[in-house]
Amino acid sequence: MAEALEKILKEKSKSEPEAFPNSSKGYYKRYASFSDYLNNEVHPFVNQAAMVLDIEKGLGFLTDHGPGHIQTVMRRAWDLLGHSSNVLSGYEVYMLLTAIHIHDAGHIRTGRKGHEKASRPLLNAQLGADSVENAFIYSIAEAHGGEVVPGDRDKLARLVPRPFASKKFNMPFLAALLRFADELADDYTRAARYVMGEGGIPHPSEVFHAYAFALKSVDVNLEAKEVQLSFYLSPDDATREFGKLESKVYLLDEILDRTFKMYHECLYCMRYFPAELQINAISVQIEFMGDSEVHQPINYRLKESGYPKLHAQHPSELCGKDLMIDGRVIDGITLKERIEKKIQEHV
Amino acid sequence: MSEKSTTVDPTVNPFAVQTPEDISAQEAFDLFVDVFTDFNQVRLPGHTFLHGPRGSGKSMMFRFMLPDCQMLNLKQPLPQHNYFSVYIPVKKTGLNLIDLGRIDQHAKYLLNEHLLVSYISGKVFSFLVELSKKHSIFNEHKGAIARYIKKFFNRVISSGYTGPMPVVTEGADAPEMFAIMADICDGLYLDVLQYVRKLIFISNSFPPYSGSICGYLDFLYPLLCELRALEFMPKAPIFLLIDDADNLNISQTTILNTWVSYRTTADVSLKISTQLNYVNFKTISGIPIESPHDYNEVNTETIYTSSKDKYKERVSAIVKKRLENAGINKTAEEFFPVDKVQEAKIKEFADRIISGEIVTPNGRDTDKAYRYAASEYIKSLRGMSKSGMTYRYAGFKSIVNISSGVIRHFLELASRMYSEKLADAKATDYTVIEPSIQNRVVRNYSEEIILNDFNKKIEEINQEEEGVELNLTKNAKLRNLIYSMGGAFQAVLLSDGSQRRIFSIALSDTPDKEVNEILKLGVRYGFFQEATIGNKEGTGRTKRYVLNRRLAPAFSLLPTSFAGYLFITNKDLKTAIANPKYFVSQFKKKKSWIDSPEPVKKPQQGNLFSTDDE
Repeated sequence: MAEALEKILKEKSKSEPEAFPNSSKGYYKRYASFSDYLNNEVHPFVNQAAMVLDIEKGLGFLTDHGPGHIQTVMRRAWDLLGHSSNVLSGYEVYMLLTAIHIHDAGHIRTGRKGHEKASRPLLNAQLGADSVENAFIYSIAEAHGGEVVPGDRDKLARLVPRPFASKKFNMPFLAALLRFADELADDYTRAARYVMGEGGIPHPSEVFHAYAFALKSVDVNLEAKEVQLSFYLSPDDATREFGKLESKVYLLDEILDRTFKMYHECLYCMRYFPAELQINAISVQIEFMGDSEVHQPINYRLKESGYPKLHAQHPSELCGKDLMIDGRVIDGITLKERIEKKIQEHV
Repeated sequence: MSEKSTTVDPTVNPFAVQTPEDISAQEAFDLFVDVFTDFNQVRLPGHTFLHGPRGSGKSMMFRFMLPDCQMLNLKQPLPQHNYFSVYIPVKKTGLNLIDLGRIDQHAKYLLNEHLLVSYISGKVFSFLVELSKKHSIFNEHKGAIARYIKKFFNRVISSGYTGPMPVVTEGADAPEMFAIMADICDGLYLDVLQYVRKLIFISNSFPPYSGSICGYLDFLYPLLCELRALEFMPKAPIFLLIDDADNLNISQTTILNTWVSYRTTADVSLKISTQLNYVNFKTISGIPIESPHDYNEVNTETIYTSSKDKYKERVSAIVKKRLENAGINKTAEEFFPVDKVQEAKIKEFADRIISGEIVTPNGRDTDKAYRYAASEYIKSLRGMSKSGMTYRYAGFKSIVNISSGVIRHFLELASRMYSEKLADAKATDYTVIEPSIQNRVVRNYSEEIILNDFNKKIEEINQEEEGVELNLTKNAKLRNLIYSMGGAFQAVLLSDGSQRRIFSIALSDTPDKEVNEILKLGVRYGFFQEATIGNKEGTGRTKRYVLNRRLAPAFSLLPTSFAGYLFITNKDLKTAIANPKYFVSQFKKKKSWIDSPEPVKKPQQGNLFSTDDE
C-alpha cells in the first residue's frame, strides 16, 4: 500500500510539473521503479547482511530495518509535516522519499558502522538519473547519523539549500526531517518478538529489541508541539537487566537514555524546521502491565523550562570565534592592556 | 673573511633562480636556508594560509617540507618524520577552466569539489609513485599497499566511477600500485572535464551528468587517513601543500575554505599558499572561516617588511650558502661591496654638517648628520650629472633594501650582476661584484619595471581601447600616480627640509571609488605595499601606501630607512593620477610642507596644495 507521501508525489508530478527539473516526466515512474526494487531486493535483506558483517562484534541482530521500517519513517515524516501536502514541493517529496529509501541500505555493504556513507553505489546503479541529483539525495540520507569528521556530529549545518537544474530544494530541512522521522521510527513492530520470547536475541542486542517492544505508540501532536511516546512494560521486563553491547542495563534506564537522546535530536533538527512545524517537547508515558497494579505509571515531559540551562559557562564557549582577538579571548583586563598599549604607541 | 684560492667555476651562476618544483631533494637541501623560525606555523599541525608575493620563497619552503628533503634534513627514516607533505601546485590553466562557468547553474560546488578532490588525489598518488621509486621503504611494505588499494577501489566504486578498473597483479611493486591509483584519479577528473566540454555545444539545458562524484569527506579525507595509518608512514598528519591557491576560482576557494572549517588537522592539515590575491574566505554555507579559530595566517611580506634586519639576515644566509655551493668563501657584504669612494664622500658631508659648515634643520647633531649627509651628497651631484656623476646603488644592504622583502627580487638582481660580470671579457676575479656593475644592473632593473613591464600592460590595454584617448585606463592612471609619488619624494629628498626620507603616502580623507581602485591595483601589481597608521585627528586608523623600493633607483631615491610619509587628500590624489608633471610642480611650490614633512607616528594637519602655501 502506497504511503501518503508517495501518493502526494504521484499527484504532484501531474499537478505541478513545473516544480520538477526538466518537467515532471519520469520522476514518479523512476521513483516507483526504484521503490519496488528496493522493497523487493534490498530492504528485506538489510538485517541478514548486517548480521553477517557484524557477527564477530555480536552486533548483527538489528531491530527491523526492512520495508516496514522504511514505511514507518515515511509515516513519521508525514506526521511531522502535519499531514499537509503544502509544505514540500513535489520535487522535494521525491528527494525525501528516495533518501528515506536508501538511508539504511548501506548496512548491506558495511554493517552498522559507517552504513550512512555506504549507499551511493546502490543509488547510482538503481535510480539512474543524474549523478549530481543522486549526490544531493545521498547527502540528505547520509546526514541521518554518524560524524562529519571524528568529534564533529554537526552534519546538518554542512548542508545548504541548493538548486538542481534551477529547481530549489531545502536540503537542510529535508535532511532534518528524515533524521527526526528516523529517530521516531522505533516501535514494537521493529522488535523480533518471537525470538525475544524464546530468549534468542544475542546479548549485545537484547535491550534494543526490548526497548522497541515496549514502545507501543509514537504520536506527533503538532497542536501541543510535542511527540508523545507510550511504553508498556511487563513486571518481568521492568525488573531484569538486558544485554547492551558488552554491558547490562535496566529497561527503564534505557528508556530514560533513549528519550533524552531523542530530545537532543529534536532540538537539533528543529533548527531547520519551519515555525509552524516546531516540536519542542517529548512527552513520555510508561505504564506497567499486570493483573494488579504493580507500579504507578511514570510520566515525564522533556522540555526546556525555567531559566535556560546551558553546558557553556561563558559566552566564549558558545562563540569563542567572535570573541577571539589576536589569539586570545577578549576580556576586561585584555581590553585594558590593548588600549593602554595603543595609547603608548601613539605618544 | 680572508680570501683564499677557490675552485670557482665562473660559468655557473650562483644566483640562478630555479623553480623549486623542478629541483632535486639534494639541490633543494643545499640551497635552502631555514626560515621556519620566522614561519613556525607552517611546519606545525593545523591549517595555515601562507600569504606572500611571487618569489618570496613560499614554494621553496614547501619543497623543503617534502619527505625526500626531510629525509636529508632530519637524517631519519620516514616513520620518524613530524609530517608527511605532498605538493599540490595550482596553475592558472589547471583547475580554473574557463568553461567551468557553465556549471555555475548546475551543481557548481559538487562538480568543482569533485575536480579539486580528484586533482589532489591524483597528485598525491603521482607523488607517491616517484617517492616509492627512490625509497625502498615503500616496497618493503607492498602487502600493506595492496590492502590499501582495495579500500581505494571501494571508494572509487562508491563515487559512481564506471571507468576501467585495472587488475593489480600479484607481483606489483609499490610504484606500480600507486600508478594505478593515480591513473584512476585521472579518470575521475576526466569524468567532469568531459561533461564540461560537452556543455560547450549545448545551450539552454543541462544533459544529465552520469559520471563519478568525489567529495572531500567521503573520498579524499578518508583515503588520506587510511594512507596515514599505514605502518611505514609517519605517525603524524599529512600536509597538503596547496601552492598558489589564488589561481582557483571563487567556487573552488569556497570549497577549500569549507575544508579548512573541518577539524581534521590531526589527520590532514591544509597548508595553503597565496600570492596575496586570495580574497574569498567564505564556506559553502556562507559562514566565513576565521583566524586563529579555523586556521593560522602567515604573511611573508608583513614579517620581512616589518623586520628588515630579519630579512637581511635571511638573505645574507642565502647568499652565503649559494656562494659556498659555488666554492666562493665570502660574506654577502664582501661579495657585494659598497662604493668606497662614494661612502667616503658622504662621510665628508656628514663631517661638514657636524662642523657646522653645512647648515641643516637639526643643527650639528651627530646622529642626524648622517641622515642629511646622503641627501646633501646627492644634491651636490645634480650639477655634475652631465659629467656622468650620479649616485651609485651598491653594497649588499642597498640591494637587500631594493629587493623589498622578496627573496626572488634579490636573487634576480644578483643573478643579473653575476651574468654582467661574466660578460666582461677583462674580468678575472669572480669572487666580487664591483659597485659599478651593481649600480648599472640596479638602475636598469628599476627602469625596466616602469618602462618595460608596466608599459607593456598599458599598451596591451590601450590597443584594446583604441581611440579612447581621453579615457585613461586604470594602468595609465596608476603609472601617473607612481610618477607623481616618485617625483614628489625626490623633491623632498633634494630639499632643505628636516625630513627628507619620504617613501609613502597616507590618506587624510576617504578616497573616492576611482582613487581606491587605482591604489588597489598598485597593491595588486606590487608597486605599493598597504599598511595603516593613526589618522591625523588621532581618532582612528587610515591607510598608508609605501612605494616599492625596487622603484627607488628609477627616481634617484635612497632605498634605505624611509621614515616619513606624506598626508594626502583625495583631491590631491586625483591630480596626481591625472597629471604627474602638474602634481610635482605644485608639490614643489608647497614649501611649508617640504620644510616640515611628517615623521612616522607624528601626523600633522595640512593639505598638499592649500592656497595659503602658495
